Amino acid sequence: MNWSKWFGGAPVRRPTSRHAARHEPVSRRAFLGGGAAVVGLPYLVSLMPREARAMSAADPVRAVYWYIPCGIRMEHWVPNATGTGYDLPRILASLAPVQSKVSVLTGIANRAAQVPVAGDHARGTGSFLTCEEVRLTDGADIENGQSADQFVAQALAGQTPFNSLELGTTGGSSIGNCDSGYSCAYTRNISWLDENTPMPKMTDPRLVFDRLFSGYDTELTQAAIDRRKRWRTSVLDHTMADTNTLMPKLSRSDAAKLDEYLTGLRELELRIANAGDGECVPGDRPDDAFDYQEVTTAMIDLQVKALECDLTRVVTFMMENGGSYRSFDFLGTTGGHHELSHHQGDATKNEALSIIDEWEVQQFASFLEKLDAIEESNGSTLLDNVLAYFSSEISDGDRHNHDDLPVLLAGSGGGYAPEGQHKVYGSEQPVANLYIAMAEAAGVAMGPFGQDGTGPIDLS
Amino acid sequence: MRPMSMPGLPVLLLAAACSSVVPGEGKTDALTTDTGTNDTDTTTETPTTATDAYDPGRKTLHRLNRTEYDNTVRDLLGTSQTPAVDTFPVDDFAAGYDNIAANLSTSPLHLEMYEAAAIGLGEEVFDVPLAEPFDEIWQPETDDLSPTTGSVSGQAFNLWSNGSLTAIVDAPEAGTYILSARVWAQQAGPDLARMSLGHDGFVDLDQDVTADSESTAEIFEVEVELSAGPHSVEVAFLNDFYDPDLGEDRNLLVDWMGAYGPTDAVGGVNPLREALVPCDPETDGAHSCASVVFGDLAEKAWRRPLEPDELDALLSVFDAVVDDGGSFEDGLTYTLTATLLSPHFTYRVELDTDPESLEITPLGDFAIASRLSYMLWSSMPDDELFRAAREGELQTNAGIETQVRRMLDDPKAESLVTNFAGQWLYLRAIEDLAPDPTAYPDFNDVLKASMKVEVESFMRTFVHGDRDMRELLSATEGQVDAVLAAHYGLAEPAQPWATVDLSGIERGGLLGMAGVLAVNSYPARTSPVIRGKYVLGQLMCDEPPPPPAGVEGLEDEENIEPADLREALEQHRADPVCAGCHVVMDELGFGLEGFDVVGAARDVDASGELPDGTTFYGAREMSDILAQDPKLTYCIAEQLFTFGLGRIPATTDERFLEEVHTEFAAGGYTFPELVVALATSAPFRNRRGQTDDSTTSIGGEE
Repeated sequence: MNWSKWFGGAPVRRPTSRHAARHEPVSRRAFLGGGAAVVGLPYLVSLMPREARAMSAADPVRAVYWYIPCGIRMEHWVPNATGTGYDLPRILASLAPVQSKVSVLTGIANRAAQVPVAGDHARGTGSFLTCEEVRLTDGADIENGQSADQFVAQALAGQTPFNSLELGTTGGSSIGNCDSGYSCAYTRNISWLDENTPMPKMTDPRLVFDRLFSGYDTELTQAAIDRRKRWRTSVLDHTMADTNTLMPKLSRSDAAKLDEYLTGLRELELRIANAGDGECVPGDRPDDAFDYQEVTTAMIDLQVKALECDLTRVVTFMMENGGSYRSFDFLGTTGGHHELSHHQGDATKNEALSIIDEWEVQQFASFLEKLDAIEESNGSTLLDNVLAYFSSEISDGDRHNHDDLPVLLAGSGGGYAPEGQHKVYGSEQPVANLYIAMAEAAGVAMGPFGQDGTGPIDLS
Repeated sequence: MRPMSMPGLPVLLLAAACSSVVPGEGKTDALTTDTGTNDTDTTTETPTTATDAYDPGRKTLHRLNRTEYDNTVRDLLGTSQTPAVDTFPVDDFAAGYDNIAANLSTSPLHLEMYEAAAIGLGEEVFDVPLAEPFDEIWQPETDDLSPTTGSVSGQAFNLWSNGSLTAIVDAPEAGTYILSARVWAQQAGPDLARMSLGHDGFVDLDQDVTADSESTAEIFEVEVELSAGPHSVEVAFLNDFYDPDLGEDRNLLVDWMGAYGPTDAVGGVNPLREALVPCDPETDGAHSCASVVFGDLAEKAWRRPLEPDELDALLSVFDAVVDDGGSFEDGLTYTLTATLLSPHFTYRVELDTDPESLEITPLGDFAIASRLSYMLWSSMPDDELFRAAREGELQTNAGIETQVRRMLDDPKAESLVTNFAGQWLYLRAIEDLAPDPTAYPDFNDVLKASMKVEVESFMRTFVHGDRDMRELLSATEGQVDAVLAAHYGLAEPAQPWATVDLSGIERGGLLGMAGVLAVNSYPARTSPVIRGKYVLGQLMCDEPPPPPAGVEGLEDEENIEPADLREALEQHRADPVCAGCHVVMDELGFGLEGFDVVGAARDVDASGELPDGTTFYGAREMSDILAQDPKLTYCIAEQLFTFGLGRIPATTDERFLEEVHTEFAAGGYTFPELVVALATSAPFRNRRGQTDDSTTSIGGEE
């Protein structure tokens, strides 16, 4: 093996001073060369060419859906005043810097979750974005509907490297009993590709970073990137052929399983095809985060970056799973979120809940501020071009009600929605209609959606 | 699934009132509301087509879950990477298990992670490592150098008269090494200072030094051939000059010395590659060698013999990569990626003779091998199992039995403890325990670890032994270490995990184990309801239905003092809607009230009464009663069926479960007998297709 090629042809090392003299550590991979600088991950992430955006004159509208578990202390949430310049109750206080771009919507319901059996956390979470009643089973026959984010993602498919991004902070428990006979699939996933297929979320910030950006590698030459792309395509061609040969040999339900595989392969094909040309510079790879706050912050930054780079136009984010038991020790509260949410009017518990709720809204506020700091065309900011939704699977932790939901809607969706107002709907409005509006802002006509979505909600 | 009919056997716990409660409106599974009891089919001839009366069922295309994926690549490639657990999305559960075929969906994210994992594995296993090079820079002021003259001066070494400075290189292998030194001189007299650089007493380089200050110091380098082993490296000063009259003094200053190499290392040994690549691309030809590698590897990866053109199709990937400038290793890596990204790897493919017919067909040799290995090892078959499959031995009950007994003795059968019992009995949740630190300040990771060891060791005695499984509850002896002994109020055992008698302290069996009690508690309170539900659901397979509308207020119990809990629950049961289930569930939980959240003994009333009027006090008495209930052994069989086949039993499976249970009983209720009975049962050895009629009631499947 000719070692010199690993050192750019120089036959010997020439350290120039005593401080530079110690060799830079040379990894085994660098030694082997062959462009193995990026290991086991997609290579260079493609970014939607800026020209495409320029041609369309306007910035793309992105839809973001945030989920928090266990409801909200509504007495510290609902502003007294309506319209613009509304007052900010305690839990919403952190929104002050971006208040002019955040609306509070009061009087929103998700009727699909209103079923008179136990399991409101699972049902509320499962139907959070589907507005369909989930099937009561912890068996194999889970059934939900397609979620609003996926409807939009599929309508916009192919326009960005990732059709959608599903993020969260927690995978789930290690055993399989979740909520009152409902499958864990419902409590863990708000994004559903179709009625039977949840879109699992990523919960490790470093993995998300690698997936989005690992291809950003200035060490690799364009030729090496292209070559790798061709090799991956050869593999993919083989897999496609294998899958297609197998398909007709299968029965109905087996073929349905394999069809999920084909769907995934087609997305992988896009991913490979898009790999290789990018201009958006990622930040640093997140540290290994074990701390819940760090994970949350890292996930927020990744969302901002993915949206800024137009890697995707649809993001869902679950700050914990349905009926979460997380303890917020770092906020000085005692007890798991879920047990606290069954407050029974207890002042200590309600105080702890309010503190947790404040923290959750602070996270959203920091997300919005970061979006608002990014300039897009014609003096707009990234925040102006998103519609970011924030809500929970229930309203009150004791009552487990699915009406009077806590709802925030931030950004204007590129001028689609009026911003910064507190709007109170006289009669409970289906949240499905809000999702229809969000899709419409993103240029996607949804038609009737879920159990009770009839048309876009009136946001004016 | 409903509790099975058990003709002629006493049933202590079945609470008719509870079972009649049907959950509210929601979409419910037709199968779970079917309460019919099947009459045992008395026909002697086995039907050839599935009917409602006789249907061995079928299993949907079964994706490897995360554990299975990692175990499989471990056994296939020898890797210690765990890409699935590290990067794949979590698997969803059904019926409490994460390996239920119909429930394991595959998202686009999975495919991305599969591809990345496979490339990463290929790069690891086919990598040719270079020997770790020798790479050292010696600083005179800090490092061990041997001078024949001079002394350290600031950050350099001052050779003030003719002499040398020596360092030792321990060459890892023979090859070319670069020796180097950074020097300058204090110039004096007519000549420039002269230095040499050499090794083992030989001068390899001999040169004037022009530099006269630290800032202009020169680096001299020379390539030398060294054998493996220690060698000396010398920098020498050759032309000392000193004129005391003129005050002129010529010295050589050495800033540092260095050695690096070998620069021409040949590949070292990658044991993973050695095991997978038995040929040499140089001498055997790259394509032929790849063909040898994947002829074997793909067959193992897909867990069946290859079809004639399948190897060629894989090798076309290899050729494409190599023709496109890739190395032999690149070719292997991407061919492995194609192998692992294939649905034949990702899924356990079992083909039906006719996918649209209900005709019952025996599974092929290799499908049975995989069913056995994934049940017993959560991994792929080993060579011996492949051999047995190839030779048709798995088509007989005797052949299956031989393999089952062999496999249970293999260390890989530990997966039955971590995956099967880990999920069935919630043992995995011990890892996640987080009792309220205010209420339980003494709980710590050491205690948690001991809790886990206790219950896992206990399970091991069943998996590998011939122990009656009713002792899950009735055992009177157990193993404790000093930590648990203190936790249980026992004297420290003679040695860690010594077997001790636990009957005197209300323990022995699962329900006296701290880990089991703790995972069935709230962080700050015990919950008779949760514990009772665990006994009914996990041990008796008679899980009560979820509470009806508006009674989730049971959560109130989280706020009640232990002393008042019993009364509160009894009041709660005054509501007839709740009474049906809670009359059984709560009483079982009361029996365990003598143990707190972390499973330590406490003085709380632990009396209970079963629906038939039997009364008991405490965990010991309760466990002995439960151990006699035939529902326990039926339930164990049902749990293993669910995990082992990766599908939830349907009503049509009851007859087979009865048969399995009969053999289980005849064999003295030992775990190996149960596994043999299940592995030789009709649902395990057969499958059928599926009619196009989506409304068919046939098929407790999926």
